Amino acid sequence: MLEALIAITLLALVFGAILGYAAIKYKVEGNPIADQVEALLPQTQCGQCGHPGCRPYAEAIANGEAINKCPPGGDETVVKIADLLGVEAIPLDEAAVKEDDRKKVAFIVEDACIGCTKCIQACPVDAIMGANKHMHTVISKECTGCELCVAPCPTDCIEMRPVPTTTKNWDWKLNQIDVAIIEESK
Amino acid sequence: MVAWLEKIKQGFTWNYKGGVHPSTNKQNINCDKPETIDNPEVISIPVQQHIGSAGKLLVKVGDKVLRAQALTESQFFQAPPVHASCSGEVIAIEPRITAHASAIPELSVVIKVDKTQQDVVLPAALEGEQLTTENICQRVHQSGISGMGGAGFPTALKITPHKALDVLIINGAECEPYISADDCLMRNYAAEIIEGVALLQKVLQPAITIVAVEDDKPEAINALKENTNDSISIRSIPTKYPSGGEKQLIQVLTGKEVGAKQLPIDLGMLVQNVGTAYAIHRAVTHGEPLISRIVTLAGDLVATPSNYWVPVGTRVEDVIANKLQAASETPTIMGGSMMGFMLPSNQAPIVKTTNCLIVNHPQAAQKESPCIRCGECAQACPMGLLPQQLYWFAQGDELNKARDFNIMDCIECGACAFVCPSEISLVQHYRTAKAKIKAEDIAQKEADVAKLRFDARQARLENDKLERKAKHQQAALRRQAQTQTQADDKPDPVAAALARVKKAKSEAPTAKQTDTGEWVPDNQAAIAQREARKAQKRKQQESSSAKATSNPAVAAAIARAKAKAKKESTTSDELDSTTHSDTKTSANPAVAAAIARAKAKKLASEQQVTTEEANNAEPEEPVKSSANPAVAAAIARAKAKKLASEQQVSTEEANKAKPEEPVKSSANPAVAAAIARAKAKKLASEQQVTTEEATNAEPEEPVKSSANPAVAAAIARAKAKKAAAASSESPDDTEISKDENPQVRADKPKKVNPAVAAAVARAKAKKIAEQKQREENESNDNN
Amino acid sequence: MTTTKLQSSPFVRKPLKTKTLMFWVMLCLLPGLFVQSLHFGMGTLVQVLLASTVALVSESLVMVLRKRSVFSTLSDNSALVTGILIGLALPAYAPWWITVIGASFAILVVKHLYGGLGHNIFNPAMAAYVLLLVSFPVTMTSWMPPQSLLHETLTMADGLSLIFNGYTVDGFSIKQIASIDGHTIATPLDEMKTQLTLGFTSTEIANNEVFGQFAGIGWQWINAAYLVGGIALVYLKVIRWHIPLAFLGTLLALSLLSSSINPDHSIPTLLQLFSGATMIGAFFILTDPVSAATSNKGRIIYGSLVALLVFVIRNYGGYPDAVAFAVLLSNMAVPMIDHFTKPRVYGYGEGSNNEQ
Repeated sequence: MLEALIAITLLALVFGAILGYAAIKYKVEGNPIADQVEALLPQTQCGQCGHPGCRPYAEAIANGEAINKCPPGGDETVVKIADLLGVEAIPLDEAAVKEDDRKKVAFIVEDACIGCTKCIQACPVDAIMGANKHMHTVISKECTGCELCVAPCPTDCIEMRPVPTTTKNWDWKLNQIDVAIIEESK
Repeated sequence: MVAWLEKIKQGFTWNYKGGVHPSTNKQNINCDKPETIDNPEVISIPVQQHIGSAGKLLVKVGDKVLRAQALTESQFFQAPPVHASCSGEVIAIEPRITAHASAIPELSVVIKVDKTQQDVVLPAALEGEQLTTENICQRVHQSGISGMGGAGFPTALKITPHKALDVLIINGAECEPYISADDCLMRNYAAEIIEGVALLQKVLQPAITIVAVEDDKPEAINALKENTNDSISIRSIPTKYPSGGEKQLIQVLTGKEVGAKQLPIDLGMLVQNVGTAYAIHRAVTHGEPLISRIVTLAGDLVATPSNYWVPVGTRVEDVIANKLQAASETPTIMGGSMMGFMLPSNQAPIVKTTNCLIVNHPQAAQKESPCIRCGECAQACPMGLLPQQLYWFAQGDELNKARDFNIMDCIECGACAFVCPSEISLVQHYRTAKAKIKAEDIAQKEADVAKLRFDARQARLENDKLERKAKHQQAALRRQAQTQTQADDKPDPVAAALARVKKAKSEAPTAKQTDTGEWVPDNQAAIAQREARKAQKRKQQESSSAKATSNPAVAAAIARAKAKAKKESTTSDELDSTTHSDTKTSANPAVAAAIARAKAKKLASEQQVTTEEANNAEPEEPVKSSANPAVAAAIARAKAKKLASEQQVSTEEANKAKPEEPVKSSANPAVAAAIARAKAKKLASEQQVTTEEATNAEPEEPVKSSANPAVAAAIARAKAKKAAAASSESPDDTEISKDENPQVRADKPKKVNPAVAAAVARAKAKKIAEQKQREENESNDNN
Repeated sequence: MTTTKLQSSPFVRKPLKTKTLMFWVMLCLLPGLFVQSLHFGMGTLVQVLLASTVALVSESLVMVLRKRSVFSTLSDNSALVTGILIGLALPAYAPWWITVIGASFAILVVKHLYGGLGHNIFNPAMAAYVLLLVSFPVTMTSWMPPQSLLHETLTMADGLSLIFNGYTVDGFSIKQIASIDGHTIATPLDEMKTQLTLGFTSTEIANNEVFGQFAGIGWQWINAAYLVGGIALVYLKVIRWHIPLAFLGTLLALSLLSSSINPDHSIPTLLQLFSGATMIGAFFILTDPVSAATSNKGRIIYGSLVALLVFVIRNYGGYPDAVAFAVLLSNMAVPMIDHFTKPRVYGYGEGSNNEQ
């Protein structure tokens, strides 16, 4: 009986020491989980999740925040993060679901632009070109569709337009094309 | 290496794993010299029929074009031009349906074809010494030749040599069922094909040249053998689908595999279609651009399946017109029966890569049974993939696993779906999965770029912040240094400034009404202060003048001089003892001073008006500090009148906006907010009026009837600062229902410049009108 | 004007469909079925009919629950094949409830609870057989001896009565009928195993009455018939040769090996190959595409694995006929076999750029 007790205690001490040593010697600086989660987020920096950018949201997720708050990422991103963290993939936050999920980019209707630079200051990726009292325009290729520029515009001249589908980015869903066969006379 | 080349020279062929043997259905297709499809009425030539980019348009709507005239041009080989395949008039250049399954329109040149055709003058043939590599490549590019085997890669780009070539392969295999366009070409135009191959040899200088034909085309092989020379060997390969694919053909003829990230040229090999070789010959020797090609018309519903010369751009319906034995109830298939696609509309044009049209009996849509894991698909796959696994992954949306199983290497040949006993449309599943993977990759790239830009922006803002901080610190240091060099008993300048501001605030001019109902500033306090200061000055003067000469004239002169100096300043406070320059010089300085005082008082009120106007009105002209106060007063009156009318207009507009409000307020919350702002301003000023009443016990009067609205505005501003807090919630009827952005507030206590507000209101009204019109247009389109 | 949807390429197909495949399988089972009925009476036919009916009914039930089309699912013949195989695997005069439990378990649990056609991991017929064997060992090992060995032939009435009542018309139970001179006749494999453990040599045992010209009486011809049917199946390209060859070849090799090392204490080769479920397993059970490995290399490994397990269990294990257990154990190994036998993709690896 005594030997058993001594043996178990010794084992516990030895293993505890190994674990403690490993915890200190191999400690990982920073938060790698946050980096990995950030790599999965779509980087639109739109703030719709409630955090000022994708990095803060990634860090919040690493600290236990719900993973379903990113509308530009959509359900695919929720599933990917769920896979990474080993948690359950919950459906996207109700408030965040959009009906039309084509990618949209901002477009400035130039007739109404007064050159106030408010949208330029709002864009998180500097996708709007312009200066004070000069015409502003959105560089469509750089626009992430975050919609942060729409509200500050005093003349409401910014619209979100869907990116056009071309044969190069078509999704090949053949059964969505209706073909009308017109009965031809010979 | 040499041994390997020797093996090839001797005709050794290798085999590749996989492949299937569908029935060719080519027996009853007529492969004699093909007829030309009679000129159609309208042709639609897509501007881009190749891999690469589109050229620049040379024609515009209404132009008359001749046959073989260039419609686009480019100096870059990745944008081969397109030519008019029939002469006629350009009736449209717009997106039209093209030869793609998606029904997405692409830019096309639509030509109404003339009854009689006219050719453009063709460039001269290249001969003898002109047959240099650059000339040939240029001619190939300008003739718009792109790969005619199906992919459509710009030929000039492909044959521009940058590496020594071991094997040049001319692909006459044509392994797909139904297609016999190349067979027909080889049987009837073998000599020209060989000449085209010779030109390619000249450019590329390969060690070996092989023309590969499947062994089910004996006539074609014979025709080629009769016309060939020693440097070009005609090789027959066993019939198997998909031996005609570039990768598989290379494997059969040379035993080598093109690596996953490689091109054949990296292995010293190049493959060109026989049709391309023919086109190169026509271009170099006859100057003809690529404007027509042989197309097979086959299928159950075709009366006599046969091959035809079809001008590029001819619509499918014109090709099949009068050639069917019964009306077709299914979409036409463009391409062969293994890799072709159904056309969403028979208005689609024939393009440079079209080789076949199939019109069959309607087939019921394939009903997919569950996969029984028989593994036949993996046996059939020529690329060694596991179609079964790829099917599971595509179904389950596991795109990463699909990537690991090399779905991107699938050549979409259809062999797997051909053998599947459960009739699963495997290739369709792979196509959608590949499209999703491509979209994912693009999204990832965009996300990376967005992250870089975001980080750069954050860095820039940080930098600005730091610079500003540094600047402030330096300024603080400078100020500190300054104060230390000054006398120590001088009071703190900041505290002194604060004290002055406080004093000024408490003495801010208030408003009062004169007998005529005019609102003028109530300067009692300021006047009292002035009196005090004057009294002080007088004391000083008396004490100084007592010391000065007793000569009254001299004293008067001194007084005049003093007055002159004083009257230059425009602030009312310093007009205490102004004297006019043109006043009657009184011998009595006191009298002069009194006259000056009276004039100054009058001027003070008027000039105050001008300065207030100058401060808040749009600067239509720079504020002239007039030397002549009377002139200045006149100008000030004119300005006030103008501003009054403007303000009336703007307030009228603001009022006009009001009746529209109930209709539009729900449509645009921002507009509602602007209107609310205008209202708030009005309300605030009204409220100030009421507070004014409370303090001044004078009857209320609305702002707009005032002849001096600018003054009222000044008053309003001053009072707004005080009353802002109280009136912030007053606009109860503001509708900012869906406004999430906290920046849009109804209680904007900032300077509401009436003219600016008017401009904003105008812009908003315009936008609403445009939006409404657009909505109307959309609803009309939908109907 | 009619509207339709676009279809995808390819627009031609090989004419071999799933239901045709299954049909050919059933056709090639007929020789074996015929010989088996010859030797064991019409009980075999009754079992086959009963099992098929129960299988089809279970499949219809599941399709109704899943709201799918009953007819199109039944028409792919897969449930029918499963039912026939179960009927052939069970003792000819096993009580009817054994058959019902077996067939319904195979279809409802092993096939549909795992996802339906194409998704099951285990071979349904074999899993059902194992369930019955483990739950009702006595009934399942009461094989009636071949007709030739019986005192009196069983009439049709007797047979039906045995199956549905448990007793013959005259009131004899199956054990009573199956015994000769007081001791129950076992299957040849069973007999061989028991006697070997008792210490007899294999040559001695071969003289026992249950053994015939080259293997067990009756059983040898049944297996030969299945062999013929199986070869026909390979010839028709319904199945590929890899699994049967791997299985039979490995079994042959192993038993030859053991016979040459220890001839007296190992089961003779021919007996190994021509008794029990060897032949029907080689061509009809192991080759079930859903539960077997997919690539050819994988199939060879799979067949060899089953053969190894059959050999081990038969010689050293507790049950006389091991095919069912061996198949189930190998089914468990199939995902790993598939993972390690992926074919090389064009353009990757050292195989590319090889001059052959």
